[in-house]
Amino acid sequence: MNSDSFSTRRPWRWSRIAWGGGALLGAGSLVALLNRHFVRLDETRRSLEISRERMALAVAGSDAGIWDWDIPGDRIVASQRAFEIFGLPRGPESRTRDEWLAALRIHPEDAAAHHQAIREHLAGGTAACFSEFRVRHGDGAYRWVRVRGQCVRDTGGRALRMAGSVADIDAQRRAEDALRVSEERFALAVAGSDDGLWDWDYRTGIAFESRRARELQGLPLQPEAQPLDELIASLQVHPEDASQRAEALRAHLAGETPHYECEYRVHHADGRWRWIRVRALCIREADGRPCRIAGSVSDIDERKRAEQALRRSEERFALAVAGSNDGILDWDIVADNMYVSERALQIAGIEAEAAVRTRAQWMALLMPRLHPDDATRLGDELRELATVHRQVHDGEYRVLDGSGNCRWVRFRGMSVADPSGRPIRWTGSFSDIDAAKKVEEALRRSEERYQLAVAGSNEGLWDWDLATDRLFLSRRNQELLWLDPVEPQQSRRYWIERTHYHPGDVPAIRAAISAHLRGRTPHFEVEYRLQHHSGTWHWYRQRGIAIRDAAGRPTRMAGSMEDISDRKNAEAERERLEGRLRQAQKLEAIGTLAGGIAHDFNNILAAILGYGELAQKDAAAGSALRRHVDAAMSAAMRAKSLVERILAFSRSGMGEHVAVNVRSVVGEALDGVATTMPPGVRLQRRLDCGDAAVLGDPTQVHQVVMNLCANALQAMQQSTQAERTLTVTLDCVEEGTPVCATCELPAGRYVRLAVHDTGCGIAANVLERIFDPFFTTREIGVGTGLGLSLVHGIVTDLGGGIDVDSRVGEGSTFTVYLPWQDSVSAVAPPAEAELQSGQGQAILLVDDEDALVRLGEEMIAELGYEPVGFTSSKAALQGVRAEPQRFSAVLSDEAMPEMTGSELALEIRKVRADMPIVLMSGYVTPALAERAQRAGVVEVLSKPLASRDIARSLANALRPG
Amino acid sequence: MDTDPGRDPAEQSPGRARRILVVDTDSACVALLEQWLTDAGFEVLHDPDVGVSLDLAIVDVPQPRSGATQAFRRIAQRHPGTPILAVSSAFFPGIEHCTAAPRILGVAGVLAKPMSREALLNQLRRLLG
Repeated sequence: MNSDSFSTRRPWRWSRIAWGGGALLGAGSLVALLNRHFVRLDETRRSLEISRERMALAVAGSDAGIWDWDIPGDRIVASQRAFEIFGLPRGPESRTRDEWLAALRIHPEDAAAHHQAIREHLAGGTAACFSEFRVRHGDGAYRWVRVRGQCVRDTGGRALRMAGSVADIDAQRRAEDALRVSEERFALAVAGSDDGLWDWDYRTGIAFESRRARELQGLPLQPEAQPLDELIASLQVHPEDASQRAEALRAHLAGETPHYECEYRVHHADGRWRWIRVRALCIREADGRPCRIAGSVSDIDERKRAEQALRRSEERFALAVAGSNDGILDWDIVADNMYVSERALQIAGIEAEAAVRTRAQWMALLMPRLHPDDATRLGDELRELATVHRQVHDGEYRVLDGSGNCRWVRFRGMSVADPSGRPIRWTGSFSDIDAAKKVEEALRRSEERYQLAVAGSNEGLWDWDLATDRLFLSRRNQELLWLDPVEPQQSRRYWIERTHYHPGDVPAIRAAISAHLRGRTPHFEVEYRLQHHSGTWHWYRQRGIAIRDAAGRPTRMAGSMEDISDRKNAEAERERLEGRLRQAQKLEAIGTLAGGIAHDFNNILAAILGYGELAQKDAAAGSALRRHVDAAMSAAMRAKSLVERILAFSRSGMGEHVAVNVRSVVGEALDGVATTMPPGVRLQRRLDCGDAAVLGDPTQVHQVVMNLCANALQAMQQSTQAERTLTVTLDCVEEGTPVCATCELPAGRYVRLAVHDTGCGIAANVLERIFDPFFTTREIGVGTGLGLSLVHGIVTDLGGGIDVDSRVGEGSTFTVYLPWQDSVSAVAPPAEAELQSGQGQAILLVDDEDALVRLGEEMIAELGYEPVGFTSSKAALQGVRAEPQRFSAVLSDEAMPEMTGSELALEIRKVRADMPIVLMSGYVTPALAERAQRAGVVEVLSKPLASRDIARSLANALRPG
Repeated sequence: MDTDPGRDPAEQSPGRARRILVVDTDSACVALLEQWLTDAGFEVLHDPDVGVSLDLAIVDVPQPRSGATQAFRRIAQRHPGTPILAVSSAFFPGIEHCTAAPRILGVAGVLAKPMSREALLNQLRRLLG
């Protein structure tokens, strides 16, 4: 060990003193002592060579034992001290080697090495024999001994004798062991320590820094010792920390602080600044000047950063708490330590200065503030929190302010539990959610209202996303469309495919959607029809509005849908009723007007015709005056005919009021119609009403049929239809409520007359006015335009109604309902009169139909007259002219091809003025009656003839005077 | 026919001309009837309250369908048993052939206006026998 290395060890020693305490100081002194002792032993051994006697004396005073082995004589002699040291019991000083070895109890681990050392020396391998080993003493303990010896050889080199010493080195050996263990431990500690060590010697100017210390300070790892100035220069302390460090060091060196302690950042090769902590103590000279300073350096970078992070976190937390809208609560359940942030107090309406340290204090402040309904609940919950661990607790409560208003607050927090599950801490927030709650409440109410409205509404809701074509339909909407409740989100196409729109409405729907999507209408609103699979049509009203993006493009459209069939039907019904009422009122008003006109005109015409007749009589036949009067009379007659029709329409006229056999009258009218049918038109009749009768004027019933048929023929004349058929049907409605165009009929029994044509049909706008008098679609001058109004007037007067069904281009059907008054035979039998029979008088019978002539002859013959039948009016006239007095009376048909009955009558009267003449006609019109009267006809009979009528009429005609 | 005096109803009774009361508000009609009836040999009266006995009354009914009987009742009270011929411009022509109308109105006969002289005389002939 040279002085340099020794001096490097010295700081260790210093260190040990400084840190390890005083225990090792004794060991160090012992080593020095033993070293000196060994030097002395060596000297002793050398002097043995010189003098045995001096040796023996020395032995007596020595602490070591002496031994001597006579190898050839196999005797070992040992001093008393040697015996003690070897732990041998006292015995003879001289023994054989075997005896010696048998007594000596060497530690089994050491025996082999010891014997080996002796053998090697004896063999001449070593200059001296040296061995240390443990021997067992009488107390059972092993003690370390050191044996030294040297053999004396003869000239041949054979060992003659071997002698030496034995020393008790047990204490020394143990001290050395302890030292070694300590030093090993120290080295290990230094090497393994997380701290670095350093030692600056101001006297020598040398600085020692352990490898770890250098590492921590960002210095090169080698060398561990270097000049102090050099080291100080290489230290790179953070500029912000440098002055603080310098001051701390100065203060300690100046004796102002008990130790030097400082935390600062040093620069590392990787460019980072790392925090270290240095702690040291200085050692001073006797005069107090520092001579050395030594200590440790620790890595506190992580801790420091963690601290910083924690501080930042705490700052952040503090700032967050201070700035937060939420109040913070932290309750240490075990210690019952309650922290309540200022904001939490504020939210609870508690003054900020209130001291809250325990839960009880907090509750005492909070409870009176809570709404009574919530206070109990919160109290229970908090009590539960203290005992039962819950991950998250969340509750909403009402806090009352001074004026009794409620504010909603929310507690939300979580508890932390110990391993046993017992909650030990509860941390949470306290928020003012009043505004949110009110909004939520309002929203909920609004949604409730909306839901109720939707549920209660008859309207379905729809929502169409244009981009995806998704169409949401509410349940009600699906019901409205008769769809199975499937996924309400389908494509619009899907729904449309399952819906049958009325073809007539599709263009309008498309136009409405398109117009709204293009922004031309503020709303999308359309009414249209959909067909149920049963075939019925329903009306819907669909409303909606488009939602547009910033560019104004529609992205979505939503709205409602409603079944408005009832409304539509009611509207249609109302419109129909209103129209009917309007029509009825109009006709009534016109009728009243027309009635008045007819009345006045008839009075005027009465005078005109009456005086005309007188003038006619006075004017000479063939004179110009007579011609002029005739013309005036003819025109007046036309006026009379027109007024008659107006009267019929006006319903103010009075006519016959008897039970009319409808079938008979209708059949007769159709016979008349058949004679005037235009070519190519077919007449179909189906008269199935039996003898049903209506109460009224047969002439008027006749007029109804005639007018309706004339109208129908007119319509077919205008039509281009190939098939032209006039169909007249008559039947009875046993029980029904007929639908009529201008009135409402009570339920009851009706005779129904339907006149159907395959004509041009009537346009809707015309349909409204067809019953108006003087309304005509015909050219001016053709017809009077009174036909249908006349029909209407008559039908109404009969207590019936009329309905029209017409399709343009297909034809029309006029249906007349007349109240059914029991049955009546074609001609009512006179109740009282007996048949008056003749006395064989000759009766001239004229009818162009042969069959009717034969029938008539039979009936007349049966009545006791002598019939003379003619099928030609001209032939009949010839017969009268031939024998004017042969016939007592004439019975003639009116409608005949060659000469009408009234014409015939006039001619016969020329031959025999007193001849009683009776006419018969299928249709006794007023004009005919008039004509017949002027021709001097006694009576006009209605066909078909009944024998009773003929009997009465002939008896009447033949009655004298 | 009408020129035949033998068939003139007014002359059926040789004693005196038959008296016919004509009640009509239309003066032209009244004048015409008077002309015709006088020509036919009847005595025409105009005052319903006349004290003399009547053979027939011709009464115009403006609205036979409503309230027509009042006029007839007055005649019937004043001249019981006198047949009444109701005439009206609201009657349909041909109503004289009708049996129901006289019964409904409670008169002996009906006749539509305008009427021919012949028709009137026919009715008178029938009613006066």
